[in-house]
Amino acid sequence: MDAAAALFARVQSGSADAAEVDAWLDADPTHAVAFARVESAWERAERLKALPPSALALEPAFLPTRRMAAALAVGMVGAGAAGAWWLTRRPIETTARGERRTVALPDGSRIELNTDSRIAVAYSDSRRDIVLTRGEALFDVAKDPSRPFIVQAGEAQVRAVGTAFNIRLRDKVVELTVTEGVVAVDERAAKTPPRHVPEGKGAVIATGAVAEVDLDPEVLRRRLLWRDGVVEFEGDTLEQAAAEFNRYNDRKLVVADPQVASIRVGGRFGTHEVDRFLGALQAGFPVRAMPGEGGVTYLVHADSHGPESFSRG
Amino acid sequence: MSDRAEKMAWFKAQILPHEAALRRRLAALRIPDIEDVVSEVLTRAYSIDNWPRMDQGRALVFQIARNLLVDAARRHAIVSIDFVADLETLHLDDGGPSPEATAAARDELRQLQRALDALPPQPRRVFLMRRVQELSPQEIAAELHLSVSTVEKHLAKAMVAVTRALGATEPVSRPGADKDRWRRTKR
Repeated sequence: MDAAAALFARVQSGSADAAEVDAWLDADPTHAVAFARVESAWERAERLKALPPSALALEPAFLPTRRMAAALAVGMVGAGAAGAWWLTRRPIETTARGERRTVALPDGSRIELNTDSRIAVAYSDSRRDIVLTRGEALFDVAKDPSRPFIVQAGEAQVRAVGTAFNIRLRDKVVELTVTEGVVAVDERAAKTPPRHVPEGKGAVIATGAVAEVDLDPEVLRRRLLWRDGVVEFEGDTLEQAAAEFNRYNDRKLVVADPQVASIRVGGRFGTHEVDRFLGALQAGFPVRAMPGEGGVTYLVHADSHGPESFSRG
Repeated sequence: MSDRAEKMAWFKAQILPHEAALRRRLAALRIPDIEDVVSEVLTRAYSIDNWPRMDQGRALVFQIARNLLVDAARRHAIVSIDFVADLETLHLDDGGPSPEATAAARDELRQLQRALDALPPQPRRVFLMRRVQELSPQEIAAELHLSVSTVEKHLAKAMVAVTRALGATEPVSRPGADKDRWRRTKR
């Protein structure tokens, strides 16, 4: 088990190459068994992520021995600083697919993370930096004029003092929605001064360009529905609706037939209500849902016999 | 996926979840050297030739354990008839997890925390930074002013403790944890 755990740790940091791992695992069945046990324990330990940080008692309570007490007295200043770091900073926050979570930051700001998202947090005395590297988040920023709150997302940089706004990383663009106050938006490479986007408006940021957009109150409302775990469609194409469900679920919807991709759908669903969506879809449209391998459901025209019938045709 | 990768996925989905139940049953029968027996049972299960057709992991685990112990008992020729009779009931354990097992499953998190609390501070910190905060080993090394290889050593030490603790605790079946997941790669 010790050797398996050591190898596992080296795989984690990329310092064991695949050939070495294969050779070791194949050398003896007890190796593979030990490695599987370590991997399985690692997977099960993921449950720890569901606990609030306080429940993990991030520093173990231990009583120093006399010898350690002497060492501690000497190292106290350094240890104190390290402890403070641990309490005030949780540098990376993530959500799994289908998960939604609120992160409370030490200054009172709150970040709500939508499904499959990742942020990095770096606070200093002069600024509050956040990087959104994946997914979507709503930022509710506590006022602090001496420390600007700056979110980097793809090509976009969004700067706020006290306000609330939503950022979603889409494939090619960054979508900003301002729900309260004003934010300054900048494209990393742009030479123009930052644009100020007020409450109720949005912006789309792509490489080299920032476009401000007026938002209908209805659109604004729909953009924030994810906070209730809901998706709502109104004239969206089937392709778009499928993509929206796929953000939240491991089980994937694939529009496998160009005939049905542009069907327009409407309705309100829980982000996990894939079956209810498929039921409504098949009842109201000439669409058939066909289960495939690996949790994929293919959406085809009701007249077709299967994905093969048109991929070959 | 290579054949071995598939086999390991099968092993993790079908065999390992029953490790704790086997341990509990062996303890109830007062079998000595439980660790050795468990290791041997798991290795035999892993080495089975027609594994892709085995989807009754729990029954398989108990059957292997029974055969192993009956053989051992015969070899030593010193065991009582009672003991052999008890062994015959070993694989009958079934009908799913017992009430104690369900309670134990709820305990999974507590066991994990206990194992972590028993660790020295550095391995514990490295493990939590990797597993809970999802920092890369390189990021952890930078934060804690350690070399990557030292981070690896701390993580390995934590994993030995965590694996031991969880091997003795029945897994919680999670929604979305699909027992047949290993099959998806086949067909």
